[in-house]
Amino acid sequence: MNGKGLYVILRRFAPGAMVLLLAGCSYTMDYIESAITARSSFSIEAEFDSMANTVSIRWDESPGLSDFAGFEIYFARDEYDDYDLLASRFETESGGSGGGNYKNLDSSSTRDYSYTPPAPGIYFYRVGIIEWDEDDDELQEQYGAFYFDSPAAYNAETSINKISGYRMVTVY
Amino acid sequence: MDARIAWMIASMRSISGHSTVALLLLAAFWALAPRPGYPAAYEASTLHNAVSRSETVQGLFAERWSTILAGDPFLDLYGRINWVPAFKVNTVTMTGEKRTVPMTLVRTYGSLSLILRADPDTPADHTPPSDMPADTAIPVRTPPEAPARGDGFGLGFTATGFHYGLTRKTTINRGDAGSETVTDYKYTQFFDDIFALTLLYRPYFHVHGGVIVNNQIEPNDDGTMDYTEKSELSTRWFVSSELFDFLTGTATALGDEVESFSMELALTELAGLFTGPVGQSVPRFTLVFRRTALYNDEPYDSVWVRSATARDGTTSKDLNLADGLKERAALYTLGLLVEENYRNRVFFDIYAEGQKPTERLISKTTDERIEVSPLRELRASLGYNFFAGTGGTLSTFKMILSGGASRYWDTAAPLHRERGDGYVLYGGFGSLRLEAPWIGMELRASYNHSVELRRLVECAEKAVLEGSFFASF
Repeated sequence: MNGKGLYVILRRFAPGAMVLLLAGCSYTMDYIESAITARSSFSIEAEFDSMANTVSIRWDESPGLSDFAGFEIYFARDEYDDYDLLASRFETESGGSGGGNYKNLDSSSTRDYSYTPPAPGIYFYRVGIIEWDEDDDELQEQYGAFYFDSPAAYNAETSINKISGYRMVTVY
Repeated sequence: MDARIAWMIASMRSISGHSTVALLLLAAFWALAPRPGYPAAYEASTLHNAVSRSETVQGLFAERWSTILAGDPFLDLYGRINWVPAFKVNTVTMTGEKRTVPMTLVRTYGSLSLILRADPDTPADHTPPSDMPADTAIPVRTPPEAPARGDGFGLGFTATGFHYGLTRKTTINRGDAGSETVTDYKYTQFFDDIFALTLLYRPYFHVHGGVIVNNQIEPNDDGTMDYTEKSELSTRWFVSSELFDFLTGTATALGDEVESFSMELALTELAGLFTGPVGQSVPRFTLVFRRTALYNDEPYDSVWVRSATARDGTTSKDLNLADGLKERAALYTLGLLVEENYRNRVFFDIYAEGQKPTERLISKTTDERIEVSPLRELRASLGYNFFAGTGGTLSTFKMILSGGASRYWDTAAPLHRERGDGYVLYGGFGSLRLEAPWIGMELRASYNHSVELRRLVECAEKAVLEGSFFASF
């Protein structure tokens, strides 16, 4: 078989073979199960600055979503505890109103967050990338043209699109 | 991992007493009853046994091809997700605390086969099943469950993969926005894949040949994982062939060493060569012989081979045993499978398997010889198709409710069971299978069932939930 013949065969069958390999392999099934169970999919960095008494969290993950709704920061006091909301665009660390753009968590270009922890101890942090569940037209119809600034819309019509892994920080 | 294996082995106890076949039925009811919380801790370590995992993925490959050959599809897609919740794991937290944490053992399986036939369809390929009512309104395109066996040459390609791993579920409280659950990878993740070519010349023979790729990846400390991370990769070769529908042989090799070998003899089909075609309702008898290099003095093995002292006469075997001092033993098994399909309405099967290791097996905890039970596995199941005998389009569907019970003996059973210390486990399963033309799904729950335990003895005394789907055109 000459080179041209081989090229023709590869060109004709290679895409199908690739799809076949991907669809039947263990990694694809794991990927599907991961999507069903919302597996943590990106890493974050977190550190405590004792001079400034702040914890800083950074991440590189881009939301990559046209329906991006914001970032959320979560914390736990034990590695295997459930996580609670620390801050979102609409909620501050103390539970007050964030006004919709708290610490730029509404911006898809934000890649860091910092705050002053309330007490020394061990903290675990995660970052969530939040998406709108409905498309733009439906949200405008239900909550008006400025639904993006509505806490009611945010609380009722968003969910976690991606969740980070966790990072432990010792505050002293 | 060594410290955790040591902890696990420390929990190994003594040999169980005898069991009786009559307990199987009781076990089926008991197995599906609600279970109390587990008091004991657990560590998933024998997942590291690539020999056993290769056997598992090969078994699933064979299971899928058995279905493919029963019909005549050119494309077969199959997926299965299997969860074992409340899997107790001994862990050390990031703060250094030892703790037993419930996790989920996830097993996902995917298979895709493409079958290209050299010969065009013949009318015989689309003959309705013989037991279908005469007034059935058969669509022009007969569904694949019709016995449409396309004879002649064919070529198949299959990609089959099995992933095993532990995950941990966590709830994220989003304040006024409610709460959601997410999961993290925990401990080593195992990926076993088969890439195989199949040559068919039906009804005379078919041959599968391919590679089994065993991979394991360590997730990051934060619960994430990158498939491209540094991993432990090994490859095995396998070949499997079937002659005249009654003789099947399978061998798996690592390098130039044959790790496992099996031979199946379908007695009913063999008899059919002399007596003529056998009817669908005639019971199928199959003999299964297998040799597997199962015991290798590895840290994850539950037993030592021959003795707790190495052949040099001075070295006591332990987790750090040098490779040159490791001894090996194979397990020989001989099984008899009886299957009955009565007019696609009632399905029954029973399987019994005897065993004999090639060397003495020594308990790692007591250093005493294990009395290996001659009976490794005994299982039976019964299924009923509620759509059998119905007329019209409904007869092309199947809704099969099945249940069964089993007894299983394994050297690692004492390590992984939550209560008791015996080598014998009784269990059962229940399942509901729905099939429409070209697609289908199955929901299955089991507890200690031997089919699950053979794949992974870590499932001992844990509920197993499974969902699967297929599409076959």
